[in-house]
Amino acid sequence: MRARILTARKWLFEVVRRLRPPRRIFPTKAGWVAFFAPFVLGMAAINAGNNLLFLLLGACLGAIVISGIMSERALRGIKIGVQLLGNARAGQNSRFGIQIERKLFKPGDNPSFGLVIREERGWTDRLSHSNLLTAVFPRIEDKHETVVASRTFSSRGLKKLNSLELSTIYPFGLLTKSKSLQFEHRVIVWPQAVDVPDILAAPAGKSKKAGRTQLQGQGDDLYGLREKTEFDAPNRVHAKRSQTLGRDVVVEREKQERPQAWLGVLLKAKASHEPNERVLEIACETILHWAKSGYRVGLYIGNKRFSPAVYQTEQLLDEIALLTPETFSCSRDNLAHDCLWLLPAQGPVLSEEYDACVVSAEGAVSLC
Amino acid sequence: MLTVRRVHEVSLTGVACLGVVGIMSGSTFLLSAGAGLITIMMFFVRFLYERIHGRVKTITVHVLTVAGLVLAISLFKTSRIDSVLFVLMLGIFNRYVLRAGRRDDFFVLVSASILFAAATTVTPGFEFAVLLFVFVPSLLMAMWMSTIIGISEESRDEHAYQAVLKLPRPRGLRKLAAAGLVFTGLGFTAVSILPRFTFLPMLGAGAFVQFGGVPDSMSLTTGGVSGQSDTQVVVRVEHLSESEQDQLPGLYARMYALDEFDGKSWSNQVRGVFRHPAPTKNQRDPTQGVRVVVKRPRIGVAAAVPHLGRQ
Repeated sequence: MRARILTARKWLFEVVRRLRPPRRIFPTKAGWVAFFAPFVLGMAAINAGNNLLFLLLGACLGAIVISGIMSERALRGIKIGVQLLGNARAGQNSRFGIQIERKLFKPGDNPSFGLVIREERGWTDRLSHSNLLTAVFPRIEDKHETVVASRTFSSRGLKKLNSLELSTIYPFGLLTKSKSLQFEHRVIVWPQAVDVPDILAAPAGKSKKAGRTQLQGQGDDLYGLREKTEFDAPNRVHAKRSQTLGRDVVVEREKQERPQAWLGVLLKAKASHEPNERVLEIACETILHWAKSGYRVGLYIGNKRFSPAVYQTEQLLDEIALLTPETFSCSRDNLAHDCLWLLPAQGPVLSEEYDACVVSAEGAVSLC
Repeated sequence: MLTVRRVHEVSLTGVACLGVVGIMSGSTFLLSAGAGLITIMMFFVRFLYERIHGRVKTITVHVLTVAGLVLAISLFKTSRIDSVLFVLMLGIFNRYVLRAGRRDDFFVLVSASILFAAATTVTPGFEFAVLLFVFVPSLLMAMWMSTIIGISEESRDEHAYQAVLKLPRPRGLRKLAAAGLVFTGLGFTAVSILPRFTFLPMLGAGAFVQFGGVPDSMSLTTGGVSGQSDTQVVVRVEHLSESEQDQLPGLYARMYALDEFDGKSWSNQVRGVFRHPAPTKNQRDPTQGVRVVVKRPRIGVAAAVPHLGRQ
């Protein structure tokens, strides 16, 4: 029954959205005052039969037409680009670069004033409007202009931004004219940021590969080149090779070769389970912490292996963000032994031969 | 170089002045108050973009405004419309001198527009058309510039605000002025087909507010009758077309007289309200092409201009 109601609600929302006029006009605060002017003038003119009042009424209506023409010119030929800056975390402000392109711009044209791009509410959104994407362009002098806007995602996963609305109060500040923009943008939102428990602060001694993770290399011999990550110092960048490739690569020497640490995640399958979310949050934060501490982090999600040789840290976090407990499954027979497993409370239980920690619904972590 | 600031200050001040000029011919009081306001605006136009006003200036302006309000209240009994228009002028004075942003611009423009609407009953047709010819483009420009400046004011960034003020004037100001006049003409043509009938006496001419020069009371010591003979001409009715001068059968002009005398002043029993009795069935529509000239509007007998008719 609940599902039917939700479907009906979604359908209704979509119908209402599609039936909206291509341009929507709503008076501003000042506009509400001005809104009554033509009515009052019209009534007074008809009532008094005063031609001069009719002239003023004509001027008032003429001004409305001029306002419509000018605001339409401000909204026409606008193209929007949206790019996530950095990473998106659930419950935190994520920053987006919003770029406007004035396709009809010619050198010498007037600047555009007061354009606002606002993300519309989706049918499931219960966010207050301030949590949605809002970008204000006070003045656009050239063809392109970019501003930074923020948006908060309530949960992790693959999120689609709602459709965007372009609006302006230009030219007279009495009416807000808006139009919807054809736009689709998806963002991978990482789990909510939490504190790393002390017990997981360093992987050494908790993994079967404890000896390996503490390996610092045997000498200064060149080990190889790899892509630069955000944690690499700039002096490790190989200038010539980076120039040739067009992207930064860093030198790995034997001595500098980072130790590896492996983390495993097991979830309570096919359940929307609160501890599952806590496990993912802590796993995410732990991976980031280990990577910052100088480790190359590998990940097991059930039986799936994500080697640090192939996957960057960000990719591991993307995998965690996209994990859905409803579709999670794994076989206990061939679980890896060389990693530290994180398990949800009241979830799967591992034998003593595995290193494992249990995460409660409140986010408390304890050794198994 | 003409900047956004220059266009804004000229158009905003222009609209405010035109609104005041429109009603200045209403009475001596409005004339002097209007002249004073225009002088003040001309002086303070150079401080229009100060975002922070001094305490002395703020207090002085508010005190003057309150004093003006008290004056308006005291005048309300004798000159109702004058006091209402004076309150609007006080509003313009206060917000113009203590301008803090777009909201004040809007207040000034709305008040000036109301004054300008009131001018339709005070300023005769041709003069009003001349005023309107300047008023409409100025109003549009003022609102446009005000929006441009106001958007930067919202950002609270002083540098951005000053940068916008120094921007060269936007292109298309002449087009805007021309479009304003053209669309006014088109709008007038469109709304001219609307009927004209009194459906609400309260909003009728001379009912809710007095006609200009038609007060509710008259003190003989201020604007009294100079020649008090019965033959004194107080109203002359002219036909606009000379060829039809003899064709005025059944023409009537409804007038009123002040009916109370307290030893000093004449006054009307029904204050501020000039109610017209409904025309009888055998009365025809108001006559076209006739103009009533009130020779001495302050002697206590004035013509009800819109209520000319034929019987």
